Parts: sequence; structure tokens; C-alpha cells
Amino acid sequence: MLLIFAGYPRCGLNAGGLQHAVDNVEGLALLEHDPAIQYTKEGIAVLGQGREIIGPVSVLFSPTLIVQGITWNWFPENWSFGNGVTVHKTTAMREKELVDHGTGRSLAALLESGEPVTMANLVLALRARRTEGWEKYEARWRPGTCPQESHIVHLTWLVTKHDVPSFAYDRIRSLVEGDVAVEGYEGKHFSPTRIWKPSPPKMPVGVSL
Amino acid sequence: MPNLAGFLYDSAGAAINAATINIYTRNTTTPVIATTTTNASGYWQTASVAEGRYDVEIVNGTTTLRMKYDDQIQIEELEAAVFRLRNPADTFVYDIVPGAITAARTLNLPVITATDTIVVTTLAQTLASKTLSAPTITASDFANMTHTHASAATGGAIAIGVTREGGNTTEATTTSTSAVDLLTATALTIAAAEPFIAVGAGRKTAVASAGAIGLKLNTTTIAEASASDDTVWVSTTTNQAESGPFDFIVAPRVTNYVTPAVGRRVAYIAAGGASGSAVTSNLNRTAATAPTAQITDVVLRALIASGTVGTDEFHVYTMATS
Repeated sequence: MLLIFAGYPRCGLNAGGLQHAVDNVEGLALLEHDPAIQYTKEGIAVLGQGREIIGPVSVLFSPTLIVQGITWNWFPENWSFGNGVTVHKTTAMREKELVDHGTGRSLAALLESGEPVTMANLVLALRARRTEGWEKYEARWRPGTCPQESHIVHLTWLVTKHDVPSFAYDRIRSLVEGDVAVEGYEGKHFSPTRIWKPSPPKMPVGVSL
Repeated sequence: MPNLAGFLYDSAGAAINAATINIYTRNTTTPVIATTTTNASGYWQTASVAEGRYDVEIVNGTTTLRMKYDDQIQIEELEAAVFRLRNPADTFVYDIVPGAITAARTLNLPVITATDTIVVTTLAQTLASKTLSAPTITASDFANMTHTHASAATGGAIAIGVTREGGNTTEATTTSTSAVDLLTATALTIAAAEPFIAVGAGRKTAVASAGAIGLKLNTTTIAEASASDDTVWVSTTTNQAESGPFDFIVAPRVTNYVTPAVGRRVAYIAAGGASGSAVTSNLNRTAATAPTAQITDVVLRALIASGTVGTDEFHVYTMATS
């Protein structure tokens, strides 16, 4: 079974730490660790001489993810969930351009046109570009839910051998999405948390202000 | 009150005696301001006259000659302590004064091809089509300068040509024993002919198995995570915590040139900063070729037989093609 949650574990555990919690500390579920088993978007794959899909993936999305707009369609084809525990991140950078407010012409195009421009009256606006890459990415979200600025998506997922009972699911979810303090873990079970610093928006080629 | 004085000679250089010298205010013929005659030595001197501009009339027999103040003269060489220009109305003067005269110097003026103007420091002037060879800008910056940044070719932009496409924050980790999509830089717009470079770091916790990071472009895995050199980053199987950097370059992906990527890695950095293993060229000899379509997703895949493998500080940069 594939359990997908929103965010990285707020308690600071990394994938190894969360696995340690589920496998050893709290015994919440039997995680899948068979290197021949790989959960994918297409189904459960068995790796060997070749690659065989043996059945569909049973997946449970956190309600938080549903609200935020991340569902099965968010994952593109050939996506691998592997097995065990994974703390995944996706960074999405939005390209922007400076345009002449009102006409929509880029600043580069305006300067290259050679037309007389009263610079004191020029109003420039920073507008997001609808690139092919962004349109493909936005289409993966539930309609109207894709953030329109550069952002990062953290996901935590676990692959278990069996369906998990509700109490275990709730506990795992609280470990990932809740404000749960954990004790008795080693340093290797945690990941450092840093502040997201998106790059400044792209300027049109050859133009800077 | 100054006097006017001079000598009068004929064309043979002999002194002219008893010639009459009349002084007039310039450009007038009457009245005579002062008059005198030359002596046997040709010398003449008027009585004191007020400071001003005067014409001198010389009358010798039937010959009369006027030396006018406003005459234009041509001389071979002019030497003066003060070089002064007046306006025709005599209301203003321009003194041309060097900063100091402490040695013999020559002031060379530029060869001009038409009426032109010399650049001076206190006057706001426009320099058009001037070439500055090795100029030194003494001001701290280009404040108040209007500048068109439209062309890198004309110095309007710094032509580094590298753009950061994707960033990174808290590390991504997995315990998966089969390859998993661990980190994705998405919503990219990398054209097929556009090369890009990526840098990052991998690590594993202290286990006796190798952690590995592979590469997928869009939906095509071109370097699967595996315990071989044909991947982005791989640790040793020594039971120790390891971390190390990696980078790889993906060349333009065009018809007949679809070589996936080349890369380097350090398996781990030991305590004290010593390299735990040599830098290794590793990408990519056996997997699928890179897609020739536009790249929208750069994905790091990973696996580890036991323990935890992670990746962090991953950045994707595109490079300009012109």
C-alpha cells in the first residue's frame, strides 16, 4: 500500500528516521523493503531480468494533499515511488518577464523597437510567463490549485506490505503532518531544515534594471 | 597715465626725423588726442593719455600712414606674458592661462576636420562617437547615467549566460531499495539545443551498502541509480557515513547527437576534508539516450540497499547558446 502525505516530517525526521519509527520504535506497519518491488505510477513493478507490472497500486492520499490539489494526476508517467520511506521534494521555478504595462510588450522588445519612449512615463510590470514547462506542470494539479509563484512541494510517502489500520495511519500521519515531538532518535534520523530561497525572477535576455 | 612711444625707420632702416605722430581714439579721425614729432633717432613719445585703445597716424611729408588698433596682423611668432582676448565691444576679456609654467611645454591640439569644440570640465557637453582607450572612471559608479541595456554585444549586459532554473532546500531522503524519484526540478523550459549543468550533493548514513543517485530527464531515465559508475553519485559499501558532491553536464540534444550526459562525483569526504575517493567520470554509457524534446523535468532518482540515502544542494543551470 502506498501512503502519501503532505510535507516533510514536521518533527524533523528524515526517511530513515521515519522508517525507524514505523519499523522499530512504534511498530506501526510492515514496510516494503524488497529491492525487487518498485511502486510506480503504472502499477506495482517486479524488477528482475525485466520489469513486470503485477498489479495496480493501492494508494491513500492524505486529506491535506487533496485539499491542496495534489492527487494521482500530479505524478507524471514513469514516476517511481520505490519502496520503504521517501521524503521527496519538487522545486518549481516560475519564469517572469518585465512588460510594458498596458501593452504587454516585453522591455527587451520595447527597447529594440527603437520607438521614442518617455522613460518617465514608462510603467513596467513583472508578469509570469506561461512557458510550455509551466503549463505541463500546472496541468498536473487539480484545476485552480497550482501555486502561481515559485515554490517547493514536499511529499512523504511510505510503501507498506499490507493495508494499514486506521490507528496506525493516523499515527503515521501525525508523525509527518502533525506537531509531534519525537525523542530517543539518533542524529542520523533527522534532516536539517532551511529556509526556501527562490531565485529572483528571470529578466528578459540582455536586460537588467 | 601711460605714454605712447616708438621708433620710426624708413625701408632702408634709417631713422626718420621730424615726422608727425598723431594719436586718435580708434576708428576716428578727429579730434587728435595727442601729437608729437620724431627726433633724429626716429624716436617719438606722446604726452600722457588715458588708458584706452588708439589709432596712430604717421605723417612724413606727403606720406600718411595709419596704424589702426583694429588692424589684423600676421606675425611669425607671438610671445606674451598674458594672452588675452577681448570682445569687440571691449566689455569682456578672456585670459588664456595655463595652470603653471614651470617648464617648456608644447600643447598639441587635435586635428579637426570641421568647426569643433574642445571639451572642458565645467561645461555639460555631449560626447558622440568617441572612443575611450583604456579609460579610468574615477567616480565610484555610473550614478545618474541613462543607459540602454538591450544588447550584450554592445556592453549593455554581462554576457555570462548562465541562468539558475531550479533551487533546493531541505534535503530529500529515502530508504527505498529500488529506484525512486527523490528530487525533481520541474516546470523547466530547456530547449533541445540548450545545454545545462547541474550540481548537488549526495550522502548515505552509516551502513555497509552503497547509496546511489541516478538521473531522469522528463520521463526518460538516462542514468539509473545503481551501485556502478554509470550514475550521478554512488557511495562506497564501507560501513560509514559518507557524503560528496556531484555535477553533470547535459549537452544539447539534437539529431544524431543524443549523448546523455557527462558527470563527476566524489564518493565521500572524510573528516578533516580529505577526499575519501577519487573524482570519477561516470555518466553515462549504457542507459537510454536523452530526449530531444524540451526538458521540463530534471529528476534525481535514488536507492540504497539499507539505511538512508539523501540528496541536497541540487541546482540546475542553463547556459546561453549565443
